[in-house]
Amino acid sequence: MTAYVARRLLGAIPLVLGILTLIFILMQMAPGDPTAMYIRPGVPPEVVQQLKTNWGLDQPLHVQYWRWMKSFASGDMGYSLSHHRPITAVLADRIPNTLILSGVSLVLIFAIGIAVGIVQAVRQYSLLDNALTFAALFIYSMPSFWLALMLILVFAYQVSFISWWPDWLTFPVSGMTDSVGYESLGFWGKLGDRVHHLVLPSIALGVSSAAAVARYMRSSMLEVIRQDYIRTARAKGLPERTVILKHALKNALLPIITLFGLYLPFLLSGAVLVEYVFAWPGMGRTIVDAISHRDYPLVMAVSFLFAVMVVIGNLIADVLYAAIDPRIRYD
Amino acid sequence: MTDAKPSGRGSRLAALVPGLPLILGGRAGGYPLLAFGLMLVLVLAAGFDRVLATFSAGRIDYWVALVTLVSGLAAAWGITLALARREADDGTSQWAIAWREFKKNRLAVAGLVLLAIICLATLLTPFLTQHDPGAIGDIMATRHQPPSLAHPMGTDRYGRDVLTRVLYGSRVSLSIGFIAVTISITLGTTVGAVAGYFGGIIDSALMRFVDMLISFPRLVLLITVIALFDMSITLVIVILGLTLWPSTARIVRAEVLSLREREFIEAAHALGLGAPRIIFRHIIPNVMGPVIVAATLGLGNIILIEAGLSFLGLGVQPPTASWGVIIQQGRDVMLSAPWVTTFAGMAIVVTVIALNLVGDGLRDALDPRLSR
Repeated sequence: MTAYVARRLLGAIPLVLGILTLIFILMQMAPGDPTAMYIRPGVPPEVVQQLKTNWGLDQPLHVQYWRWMKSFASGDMGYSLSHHRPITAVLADRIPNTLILSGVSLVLIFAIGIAVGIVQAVRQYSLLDNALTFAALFIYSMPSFWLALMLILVFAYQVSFISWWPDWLTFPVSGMTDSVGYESLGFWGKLGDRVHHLVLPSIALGVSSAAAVARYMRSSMLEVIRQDYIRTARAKGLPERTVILKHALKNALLPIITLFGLYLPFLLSGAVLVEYVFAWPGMGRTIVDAISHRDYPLVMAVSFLFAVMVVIGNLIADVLYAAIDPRIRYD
Repeated sequence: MTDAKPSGRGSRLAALVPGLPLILGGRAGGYPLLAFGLMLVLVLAAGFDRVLATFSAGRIDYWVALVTLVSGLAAAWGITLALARREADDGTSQWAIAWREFKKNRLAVAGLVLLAIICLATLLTPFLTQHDPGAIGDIMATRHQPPSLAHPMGTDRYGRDVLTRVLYGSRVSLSIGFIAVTISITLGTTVGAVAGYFGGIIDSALMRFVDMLISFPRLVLLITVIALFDMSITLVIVILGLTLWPSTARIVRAEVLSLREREFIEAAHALGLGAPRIIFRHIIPNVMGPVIVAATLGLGNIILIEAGLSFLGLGVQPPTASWGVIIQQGRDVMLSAPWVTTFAGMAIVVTVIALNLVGDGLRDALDPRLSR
């Protein structure tokens, strides 16, 4: 098992290097260079030339490439032009926020998806099954950012006109914490405020993937409960609840684990839009802002980190799968 | 089998003209198809300079017109082929079986009907609404009107009819989707077939590249590229097509890996056929099933992604109406005029539902593991 994990880790290294190379090639293909934003009246050409020399842009391509790889490998991602800080410092603030949001969404996705899938499989072709299938199709076809806007419209705005609607079910529409009064709250107050801010973004981000997971869970469960060992379990008189939740669930969950790797890119794509809608200070928001400020080094660094997160996610999914299913050989 | 079935090179050439094989087969149904096809070709030929300008001008309405004409031509051609094939088919071909399976699936048929209605509404937009999608009248009098009989979806902050904008937006969004899907499916199928057929180092190299592209969340790769290059609608379309092919390539490669061990490919080898001929004439036709499914579901995805890009201001630019642009513009006035954003989003949801229903139906109909 250790050898398998080590081998998968080693296999991910060329992938990450390839991603870095791809970003480098993209940057080289793009018209203009980072000094373009300094070319304007009042800036003499010598200054621009000096900048090029300082940034190593006059070096031959392979030298630039080598320096680019070396600096990323040593954790130096360059300097953000819009934040006037090293990129690593900017991202150190932002990455945890994205991880919180996508982490909560992931939990939602799998908890809701698996629960709904089980219910549907157990009650196959019932009214409930059909209704849930249709609801899943509807939700699955929604753009996440539109769902986010609709959630804001209903649960932050329209409910405020209903006099009996409880305050704690009226959700804030932007940011991670209340801008006023957050600091004066106690520990539980702070936690509650953060959770309150998380509700709408994580639902908007997670619910469409949850619908997809429910679909897979339903078919996976249906496949499992037709097997002989389930019939055996029922024949020996186990209650249906135990048969489904203990015997069937374990095997039905196996293919669902691979979905984790599959849906991570979708989740992170969605995170870009949802963070933008909710003004969530995460990586997605950062890359969108960086683009409007033409802060190319930051754009490159964030997209690289997004790709690395997907690679790591896939790695975790593979290892989990191998660890849980004894039928998989890892040699 | 009918005795009127034409054979030989002449019939193959005839099959290239919409309607002609049917006329040769003695069926009157060919004439309207022929007329329709000729009309489209004439329009294309008359405006050939504008067809060329599409690629350089980057005007979205040029793209829309081109897609409409070309897909009209393709539809006429496809109907001809399907009818001619039905003539010759005794109901046992893969497509005939798939169609019978598809028809049994009521949800999928509903999706197909819905899709047909959407496409028709897109084509007939100027006849369905008298408003101009960009016309700004007396703003103070007409803006932010709630849905009414005159404006079924209300008006936006410039007093423009939202229904009209959604309809015109469907032209833009669907055209972009069609072009991007065509690019990505063509590229993905070719790369997947080549990788699967040759195997070895070619396979490894191509698939590692695919792995790399798949590692980027799609939207992130798209906005990175769009940020680096000068924004133009042509660029957005091409980049959408270029970033979505890797998943198709993976599917096709997996299919080809099993196909290439089959006897009929061995027979093709034994006949001394070259690799290009085997790939394009013997392998690719046999992976069309999964490819069509991927294309249908992919179109839904592209529509969602395009909407997201336009929403971020990195795709279609206002004042052109695309669904994402309408949602973005409605967002600013969401509290006073929520109908703008709501209805534009509903248009996306309905279209993507239709595509997903058809895609799922096709998958069930075409997957031999599920049938019987």
